[in-house]
Amino acid sequence: VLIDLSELQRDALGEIFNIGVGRAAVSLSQIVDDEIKLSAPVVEILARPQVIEMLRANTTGRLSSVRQDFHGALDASGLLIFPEINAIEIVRRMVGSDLTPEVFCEYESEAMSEVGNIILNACVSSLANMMNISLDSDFPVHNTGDYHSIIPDSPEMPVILLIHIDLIISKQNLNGNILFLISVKSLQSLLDYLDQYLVSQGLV
Amino acid sequence: MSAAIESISSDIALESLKALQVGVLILNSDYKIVYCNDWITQRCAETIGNLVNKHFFETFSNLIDSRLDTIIRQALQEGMSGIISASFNKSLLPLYAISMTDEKRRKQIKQMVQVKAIQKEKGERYALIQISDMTNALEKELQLREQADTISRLVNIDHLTHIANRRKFDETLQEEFKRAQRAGNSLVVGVIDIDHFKLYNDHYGHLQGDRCLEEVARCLQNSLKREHDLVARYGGEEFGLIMPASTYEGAIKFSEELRNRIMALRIRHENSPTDAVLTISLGLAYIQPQAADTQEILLSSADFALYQAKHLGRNKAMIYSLKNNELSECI
Repeated sequence: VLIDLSELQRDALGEIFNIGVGRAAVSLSQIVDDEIKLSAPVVEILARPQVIEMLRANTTGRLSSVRQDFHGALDASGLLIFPEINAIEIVRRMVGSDLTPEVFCEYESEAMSEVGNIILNACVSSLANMMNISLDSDFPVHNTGDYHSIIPDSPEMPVILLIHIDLIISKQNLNGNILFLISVKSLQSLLDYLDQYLVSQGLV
Repeated sequence: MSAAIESISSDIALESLKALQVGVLILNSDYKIVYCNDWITQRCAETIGNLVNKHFFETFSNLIDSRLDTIIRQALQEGMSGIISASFNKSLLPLYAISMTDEKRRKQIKQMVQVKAIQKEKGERYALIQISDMTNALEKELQLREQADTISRLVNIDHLTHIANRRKFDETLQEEFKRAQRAGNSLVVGVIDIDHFKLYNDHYGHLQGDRCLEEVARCLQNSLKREHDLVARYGGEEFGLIMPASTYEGAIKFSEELRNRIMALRIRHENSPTDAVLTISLGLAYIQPQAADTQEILLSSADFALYQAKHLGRNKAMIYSLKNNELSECI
């Protein structure tokens, strides 16, 4: 059974994640000395099969993902997913390399972990700050594969918070997604925190 | 898990940390270095001296406002873990390879840094900083990458003239033809032939003939203006030209420019019946490919235009439009 977000909740979450990715964009831009823009236009709550179906409709081919787990007031697994060609493009543009082989090598994989680390930490940190809760994180892990192998099928965390993101580097738009896998209990807590936040902002 | 750890005395745990083959630094919540293992001490610039009890950012003041600063703060203030990869961040801590005793020649280690918050119950938060030496791994990978890159370039390059070879031409033509079909764009393909090259070789010798080919190739290559245009050595004294999304008029103008530029090289060709200097003939074909069209039709149309250019006296460019099946001289 999935919980529908009210329009207000959806807007608030969207705003929180937009602040997060905005900060991540500043950090990423500092690394490359070039402007990187990031926006998170859509937030949805879905189940794994729906997410896979939806994402597969937009991209085929291999994917690159960075996974990072978060604990504290909420327990969640964060995933940053890009089509592999986009991920390679991001890293190559950031490293300033024009080398050709179309696969990730070790140091690019490590670089992608850093990109994921920056984006996921910024999102979670924004969420924690706004809701005045404490969340800590584990180290990021980079993986490649298809949606089935990349998105863990975890009975404890059946709910997915799906955030579409657009990353613009050197005028090129490379889209990807952020997924937070959470338990039903954590989702309920998240919505409670969200409602408290809306009340504190005088929006409810 | 916790039972296993408890069975080691804290002395043994500390000795292990000391002997670890990665660098370990621990900061307290005031950014003071409270622990540093041997790996770090052995590699740290001597001028810095003993690190323990020093403030991290006072000691490494160049790292203030760096990425490392950000992730250390995130760890101490929020409990976030962060990594810094060796490929984006050129230099981090002043750590040097152990074998380098000569101060001037010593090289800074390329580092991957991982920072994690360590907290027992609700006590003080510490930042555990782990540093791995990525220098060799990074260099080896870069070498392999460069080799792979060189090989893939060599496969596509003509060994005499150093411009693209026929293999690259065929590959590009196939790609561009499909792209034009998909996008509904136009495509121009050209074949270029040096006039009376056999007579040139017979008169000046093969060595001079090779030099002439090099010069012509360089001139054609340097004349390209648009990013996706390609000129390749097709074989012998023949060159191929691919101009994606070129207009009919643009192709005419460009082919005349190529013809004039080759003449302007003023390569003497005494035995040429066409002119006193070396000249070229060009055959172009213009298409807006439909689903039923093939690249073979395009290429044979360009060959036909070249044949006509030669037939009409050489030092000429002819263009065949597959749009209205018309052959015209490029003027």
